[in-house]
Amino acid sequence: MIAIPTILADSEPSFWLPAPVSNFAGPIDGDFYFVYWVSIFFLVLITLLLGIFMWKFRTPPGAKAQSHKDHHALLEVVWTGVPIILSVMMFWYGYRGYVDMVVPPNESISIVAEAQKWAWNFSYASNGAVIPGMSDDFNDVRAQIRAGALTPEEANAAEAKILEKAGLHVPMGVPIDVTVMAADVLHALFIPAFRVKKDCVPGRTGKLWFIATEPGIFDLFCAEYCGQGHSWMHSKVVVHETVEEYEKWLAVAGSYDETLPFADNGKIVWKRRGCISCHSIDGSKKVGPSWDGMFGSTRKFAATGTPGESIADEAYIQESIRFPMKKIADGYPPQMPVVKLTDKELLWVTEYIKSLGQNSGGTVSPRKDN
Amino acid sequence: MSGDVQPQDSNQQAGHGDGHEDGHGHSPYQAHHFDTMRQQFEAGKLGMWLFLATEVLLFGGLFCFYTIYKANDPELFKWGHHFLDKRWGATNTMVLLFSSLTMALAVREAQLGRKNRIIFFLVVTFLCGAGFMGIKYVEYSKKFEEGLFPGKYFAYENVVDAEEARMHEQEQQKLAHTELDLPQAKVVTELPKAQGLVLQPATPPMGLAAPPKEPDDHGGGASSSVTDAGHAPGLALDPSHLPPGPRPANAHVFFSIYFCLTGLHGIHVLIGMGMMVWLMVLASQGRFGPGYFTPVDLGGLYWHLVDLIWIYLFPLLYLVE
Amino acid sequence: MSHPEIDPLPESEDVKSGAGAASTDELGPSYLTVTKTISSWVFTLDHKRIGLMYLVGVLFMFLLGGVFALLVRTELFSPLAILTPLFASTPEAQADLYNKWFTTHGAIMVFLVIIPGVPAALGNFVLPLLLGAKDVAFPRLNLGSFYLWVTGAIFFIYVLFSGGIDTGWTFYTPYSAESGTAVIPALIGVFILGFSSIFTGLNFIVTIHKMRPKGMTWFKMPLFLWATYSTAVIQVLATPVLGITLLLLILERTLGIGIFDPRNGGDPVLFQHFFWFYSHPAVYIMIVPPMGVVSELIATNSHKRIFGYTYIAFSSVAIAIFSFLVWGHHMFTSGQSTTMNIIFSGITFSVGIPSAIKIFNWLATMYKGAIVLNTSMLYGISFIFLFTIGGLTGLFLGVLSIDMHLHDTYFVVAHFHYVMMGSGLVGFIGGLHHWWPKMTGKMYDEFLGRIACVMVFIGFNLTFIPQFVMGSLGMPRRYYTYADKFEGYHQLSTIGSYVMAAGFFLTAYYLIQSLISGKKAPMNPWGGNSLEWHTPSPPPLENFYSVPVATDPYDYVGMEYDQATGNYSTIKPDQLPARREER
Repeated sequence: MIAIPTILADSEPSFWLPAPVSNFAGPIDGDFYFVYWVSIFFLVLITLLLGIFMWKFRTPPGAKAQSHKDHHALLEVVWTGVPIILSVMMFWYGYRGYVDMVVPPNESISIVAEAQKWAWNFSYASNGAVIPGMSDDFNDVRAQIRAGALTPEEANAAEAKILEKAGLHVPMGVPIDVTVMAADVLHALFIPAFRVKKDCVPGRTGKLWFIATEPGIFDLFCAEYCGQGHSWMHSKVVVHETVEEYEKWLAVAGSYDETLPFADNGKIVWKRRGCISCHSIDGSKKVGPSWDGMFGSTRKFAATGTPGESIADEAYIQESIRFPMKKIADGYPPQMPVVKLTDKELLWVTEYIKSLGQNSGGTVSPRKDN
Repeated sequence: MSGDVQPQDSNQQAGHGDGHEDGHGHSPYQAHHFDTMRQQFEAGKLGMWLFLATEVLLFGGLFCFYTIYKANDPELFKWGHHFLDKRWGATNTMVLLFSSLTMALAVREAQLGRKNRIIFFLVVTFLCGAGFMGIKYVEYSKKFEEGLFPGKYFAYENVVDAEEARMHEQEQQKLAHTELDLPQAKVVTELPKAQGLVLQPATPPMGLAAPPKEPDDHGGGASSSVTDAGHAPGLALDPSHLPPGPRPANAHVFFSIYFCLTGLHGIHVLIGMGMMVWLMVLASQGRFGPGYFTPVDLGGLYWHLVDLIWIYLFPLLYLVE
Repeated sequence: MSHPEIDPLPESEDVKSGAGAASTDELGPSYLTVTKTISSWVFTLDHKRIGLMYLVGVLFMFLLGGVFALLVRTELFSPLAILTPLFASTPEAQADLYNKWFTTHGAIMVFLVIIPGVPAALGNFVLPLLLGAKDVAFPRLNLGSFYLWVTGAIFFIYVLFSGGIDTGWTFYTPYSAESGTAVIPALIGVFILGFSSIFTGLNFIVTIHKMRPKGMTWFKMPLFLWATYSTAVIQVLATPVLGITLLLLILERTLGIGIFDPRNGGDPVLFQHFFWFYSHPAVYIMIVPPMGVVSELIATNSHKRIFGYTYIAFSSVAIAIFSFLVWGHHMFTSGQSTTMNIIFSGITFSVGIPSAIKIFNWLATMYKGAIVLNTSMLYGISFIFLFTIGGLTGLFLGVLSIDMHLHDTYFVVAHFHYVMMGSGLVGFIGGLHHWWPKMTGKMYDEFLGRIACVMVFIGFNLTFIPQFVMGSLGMPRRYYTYADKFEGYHQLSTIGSYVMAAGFFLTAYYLIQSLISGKKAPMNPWGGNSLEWHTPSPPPLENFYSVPVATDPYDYVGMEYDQATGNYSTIKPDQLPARREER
């Protein structure tokens, strides 16, 4: 259980920063190490002086100070002036680095990253495909590694499998322009290896851009606190070696296999579009009602939306997905975001809910789902 | 002399017996009674000014919100201010200005120690405050009748909308009786409310943070339900209040800001009125005179500030154009 | 009003010269013993008693906030659930619980401990003494502030019992507008605490302006007063803005007024602006008074005139002014405009300069001094080291490009803990030790004191240095579970927090022990020359037996130490009256 020795044996190439794999990593790391060495210099200087003075001038109570000199104009000027000069330099480096990060170049690949509680969705402008972050699957893999059910190699294979239809995929060497949005509360897109971060603010769009410089798989986190699932809301960035490889992946990943039964595709929708983070399929209570046995049951509505009750039929389900705030299931918070499903996705997910069990009469109240 | 105030003596006591004992603890008799009073008066005054500074900042925050939202969406404020009656606003301005005058006179009388006159001017000031609140009551109740609530309870629809809503409601009720056997039968009884929102014009998002397009959200649902339940049938608007154009998105934000600003100000007026009563009690006990008038003076400062804030509020809210 | 008149004692030579190793009780009742009923404490207008009540309250809240810190750190020992399963069954409920823990820890420590810690608890006790005054300018307002603080604390305890709050102490919208937890009581609590803070600040400003003794010009004030004054200005000018912001957030939750919640047409970034307009200056409410404390600690225990008095004094004022202009550096990634980011980054660096000036002046004060390494001095030295790290790591975050990477990671967590806890609280604890004999009339165990200080120092660094590393490696903050590669750092950090906690418990032990069986404190155990050391320990009700005349607070030349009594005075030991020898 003690993992402290792993700190030294870790695969990270540097003690302080993750592997530098974007165009910004170089300059930012440069700024970082400039500030770092300035800081180390002053820390060592101050600590040494503290130690020496502590040692050299320590006395028992009652002794007299050797000197009572209480001002020295030149010293004051020096230790005001030197920090000012260094500060201006630091500001200048930071400013230069930051300005580069603000405006993406013209010929870049556009991707929209939309955050919701607690899932990522990446839409690719070139073909409109919506690829999920699949945080839950990655969490599963993590859990299995810890439980010892997967060896590291198996885990890598499992992740690669998930990443076939998930995650943020980008080609190497091409500017990627990511627009970030949020459907409900604040989130933030954070890719440590690229040194980029942007808050996803509901009602606004934000931008970040980068050029990946090495192929590989890298972590992607939510960095702005967003409630219960904040720490589970991670995904991966996959950097493809060439644009062709990336486009080939995109064409496959963006499609549903329409030969599958509707309910099976519905299950993919449930995972892909983030329904999974609030609606269980095994009857356990999450933020929203479970889908287990929901179809055909009588739904009671809280007074916060339209009060009343109704049978959970197809019309009700589709209305609830399209206009989630209209009827709020009694006993649940009015928090469901509008997830813009395509018509087919809507159809599939409805079929999926249907397949999860149907209650015969209208007697089961939603609370019993728990 | 400094450092020799008896701060734990309350203001009103300090003028009396304690002055004689003031001498203990430092060279006696040198600290004349008057000197002590002066220092105490200055401390009180400085404290009050600092307190007023915090008040200004409290309102300053709200004024900031006003400025930001107005800069982002000027049309909203042009639309909203039509619902505020300039005549009442102007009357209230005059009332408060007059009360400031009487308050100033009360301070002067306190300095001169003329008890009955102090009380007279305090009563006039108090009545002005009451008048101000009365007018605010009239204005507020009008807003509430029209459904101009702050935030998500905002329920205003202009006359045309209300008329349409009423017709729609009747239609739906007829439908409800004929279609009872539909699966949604249970919901149908609630339908008029749900239907009301269809009438909401699908306004395009404006301003810096447009709400996500959720036709089911607060504004719609709440608005028609309140209107239908209470006011739609007898909806009769004063024609002078008819707004010039269609309702902008986020219309409720104007009224949120209006109610926050005037509400917070109103609370301050009420506190001021309470203070007047307290000052009247003190005055009737004959406490004030040339040597001691701190409470009246500080109360006056507070009242002038409340007045001053209204002087800003009135043009900002009522006279947008 | 509850003060019975006490007879001024005949001015004994002892008291005048400061040779009075005598405790107050030999000369007359102290403020602790003058009245003994409960109501004489509950309704007291004496600044010392109010300060002491604040101290008890703040320390209790420190314990509570500390317990939550330990819960959080223990939970993070492993990425698997460790503690939360004891209280909640599903993973979702466990994550919620963790979120409540860190929120409660943050909110209690910020609003109930560090902000009132030095100004309200120590400041209330010491400020009038330093001024040679009998009390603060408005004693009733002072008592009122205390009870406002108590009310705010009660709201927080209510929040704990009504299911907690999970928004983070920053209350960011729209999450705080929709969270199903007890947000409104917490907001009301913070609102009330804000007014407590405003009234304390107002009181101090007026007291310093109007009640300085004869001979104490602005530039003869002890530096703690400069620090308190600067802080009070921030308290008075920044807190109302927080008040109105929280009020509007309450209205956003209840009425949906559409100022902050985008679903009602509001703007969440606006909330951040207003929140940080207060909360950044609030960081200086937390750090500037401890800086003032440290100026006193370093000068007194080095027995040497403070170096660069005017620079230190003006740097406090400069920090207070700059603090209002840098709030935007909390929002570099939030989507505020590029221009604003650049301006805020530029101004942010200007705050670093006065801090650097202070550090170097403290160092110069120690040079060629006669340094007595007692507990409070060790805390003072710890402060300089920890604040240096806190300040230097702030530079990383002020650099725009680096902040893109470090924002909202554990690097930030570690940075502000170095500033708020490593500096703010360590300064507070140091000040507590410095003035403990004056407050209680008792000496604590120096040996245990030094051990505890070293434990806190080591534990603190062990807790937070690993957090710098994992933060820059990309560990985001407020995470209930985390990637395996961060486990080792988290474990070091957790172990550090236990060491630190042990240090604090040891401190609690010997301080309580000193109350029971501690030696009687002499008038001036450390050799200070500011006015509070010219009155017995503990002081009498109205602080001084005779009107003190302000002299240079940093003049230690004439101070002589009496080995027998452990007291410093202006009289050489061999010239002391024989009466003092008997102890």
